[in-house]
Amino acid sequence: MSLLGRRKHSRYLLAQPVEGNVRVRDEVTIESRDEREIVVLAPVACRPDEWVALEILASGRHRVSAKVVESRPVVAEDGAIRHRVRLVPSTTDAEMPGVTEDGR
Amino acid sequence: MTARPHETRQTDGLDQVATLVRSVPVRLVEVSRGGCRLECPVRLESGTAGLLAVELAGVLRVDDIRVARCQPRVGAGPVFQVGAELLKTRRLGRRTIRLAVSRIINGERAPGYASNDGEVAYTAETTPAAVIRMSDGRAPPPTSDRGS
Repeated sequence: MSLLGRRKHSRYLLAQPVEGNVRVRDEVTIESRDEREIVVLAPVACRPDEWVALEILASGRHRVSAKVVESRPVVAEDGAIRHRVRLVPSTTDAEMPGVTEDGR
Repeated sequence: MTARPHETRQTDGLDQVATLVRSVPVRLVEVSRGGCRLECPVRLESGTAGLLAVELAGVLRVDDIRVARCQPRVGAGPVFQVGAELLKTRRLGRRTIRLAVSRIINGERAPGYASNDGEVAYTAETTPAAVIRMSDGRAPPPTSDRGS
């Protein structure tokens, strides 16, 4: 008999942990945007100096690499806690670390 | 400390919607056929979905995951232990973590890995220190109804 919510498979501990990364996506609202700065309302906080990518849906999918310069909690109109994140778009072709969606 | 939606400049309709993609560094410490345990420096909320990428046996492998639980590792500073489910959202190809884990468990040992059956068979590249063993750690049960 299997119990709901219990593990079904044996687990294997790696003697040498493997380094990697997880790409996490969050839907955000753009508050303002110009060439020098993008301000978004995000459901999670970001760390200053963290590199992120912003995929803007308008006029097709447009991807911008940006650096977090500030992240402050705010209360949104619906009463939920959000984080106002100020981003500085990359002026170079700097890409955030990690892999692309297809694993390359 | 209140959101100021009316200060929006140049953004209307679809232009307001975007996806923020963050890359969170992780360490893969434990695997099973259905999931894995990771360590990372930030909290990942339960239910968060993401793309896990790790290099196993010299190949960069990726799979989608969903976080089942996340809790701080006591006494380890800002380290969180994350139990994650490996999602079957893509075909089981050579570059998937699921296939690598399956091969390890089935005995097609990659360098640095071995089975959990007690009789550890080393490949030419495998050193005893790099062998994995069956985990006897006791972690709290996952919060989702599909455990890792």
